Amino acid sequence: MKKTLLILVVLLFFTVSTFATLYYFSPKPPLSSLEQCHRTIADAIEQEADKYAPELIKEAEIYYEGAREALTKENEKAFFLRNYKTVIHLVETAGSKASEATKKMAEDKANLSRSLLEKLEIVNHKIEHFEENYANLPLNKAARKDFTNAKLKYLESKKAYERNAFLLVSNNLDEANRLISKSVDAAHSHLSSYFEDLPKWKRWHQETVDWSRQNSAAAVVVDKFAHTCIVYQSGKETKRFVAELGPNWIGTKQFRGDKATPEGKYHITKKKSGKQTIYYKALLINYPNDEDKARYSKNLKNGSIPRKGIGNLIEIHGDGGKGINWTDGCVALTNNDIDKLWQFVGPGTPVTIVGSLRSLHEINGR
Amino acid sequence: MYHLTFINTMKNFVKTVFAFAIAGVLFTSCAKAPEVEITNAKAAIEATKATEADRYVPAEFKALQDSLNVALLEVENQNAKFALFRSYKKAAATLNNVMTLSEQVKSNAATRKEEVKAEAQQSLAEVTTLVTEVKELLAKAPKGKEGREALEAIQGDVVLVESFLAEVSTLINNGDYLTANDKVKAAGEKANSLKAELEEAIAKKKGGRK
Repeated sequence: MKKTLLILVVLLFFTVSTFATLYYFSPKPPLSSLEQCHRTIADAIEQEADKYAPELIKEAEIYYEGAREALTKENEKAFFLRNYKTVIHLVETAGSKASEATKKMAEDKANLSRSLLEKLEIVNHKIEHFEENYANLPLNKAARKDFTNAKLKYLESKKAYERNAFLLVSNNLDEANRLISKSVDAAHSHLSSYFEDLPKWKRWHQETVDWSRQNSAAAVVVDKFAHTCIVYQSGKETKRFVAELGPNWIGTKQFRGDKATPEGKYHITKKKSGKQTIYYKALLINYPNDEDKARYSKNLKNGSIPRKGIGNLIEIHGDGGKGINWTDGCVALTNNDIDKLWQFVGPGTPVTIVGSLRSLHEINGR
Repeated sequence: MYHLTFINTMKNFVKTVFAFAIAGVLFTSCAKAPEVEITNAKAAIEATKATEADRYVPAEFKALQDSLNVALLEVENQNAKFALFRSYKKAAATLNNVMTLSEQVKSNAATRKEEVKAEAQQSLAEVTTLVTEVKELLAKAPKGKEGREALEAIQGDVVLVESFLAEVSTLINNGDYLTANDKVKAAGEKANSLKAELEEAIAKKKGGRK
């Protein structure tokens, strides 16, 4: 009995020792790797890698879940039969995919941010360019609508960009770019045909300046596009005033009531002040001249204008400074400016009205 | 005598070993993985995600997911141990903490969402008032030939700003407050520029006459 018990004790001791040794040297589950991998994936998702590199993140998640399942399977085995190599391989692959996704996200995000910033600047430049050169032009309603829509979409894109919502920016910004480009193209196309008369305008201008120099007298040139009234004395520019025109100032005056300011070489026929004018002071010019009359007759014959008469009483007058083109075809200056102009001019002073003194290319760089 | 004492001692020893073995078996049968807690914690996280916590309180939501993962790994850690030494108390405590935290995160997400919603609604109200002011200025602006075209153009712009604001209302109703905020701010900037344009025109009109 004593011997049997002794054998039992020895056997028990041997079993426990073997068990303890095997247990001690058995592979341990790679829990810290799994935890680290999960954090890597979570960090990547937090930085929007799931939006910039969705496939890589999906793969990382699948590998991580695979690692977890493999871990569970291994843990179900007897401890001395466990092997976590597959778990480690899967978790390493998952981590590597997540890191790859983070790297791709960082690159894509930086590239997108840079390209969006460039695009924002381009669209902003186009909007500013339009505002500076075309916003006050008598364009059709569709062009103005496109411009306003473009500006609204641009502003919205800018706000989204400022809060780093880059993926939201693209669509609105593309639409803003399309609309503003359409507006600029429409305005440019509208103006291109108008500017075909530029050589003639430049010739008129030169002739007026030459006349001023040769006669040591004053002459006035109105640049409609620049909204400027320039005074020359003996061929030299001495004064420059802001001028307001008729709302349909692009193109010359065709008939009575078209609200267009004429283009041509005229001269002052009368200085009006006090009760002679409702616009503080006025300088009446000899519109229509012979060229205007010939054009009116031709257009009347070919039916391109209504039979409303050619119009008259075109003046350079006061009461301007409203910041808009509001006259019936006259040139309006502020009362202070008409006072200054008044001193230099009189009946017979040449008044040349041109569409522009600068080419369209010089104006808008296109 | 000595022989009997030794036999008794060994009997006691064997009894003790058996007692421990039985206790071990009993102990093992009690240390089950906290499956219910795991299911509940996962469901709590899904419910938290449904409140868009990942969008409105992303850091807190991430911490919540992290806690769940830590708990699941702790379960696996215990599963890896010899049955006699397993204890799921720590995992269960973490899972219970996930449940408690998820309620907190849900509440914080709802608060943040309300804040963003309130911000969008306030901005919408402000810009709507601004548009009303622009319309009032349009009514006051000089009529007649003086700038009728310009006023018509501004009127067209006001219509566009109003349609933009209608889109903002739709976005707010759909719960997309961040995009609504972008849009309403853009509309606000445009409305402000229209107001300035009109105020300048009105001021010039007053100043232009002597």
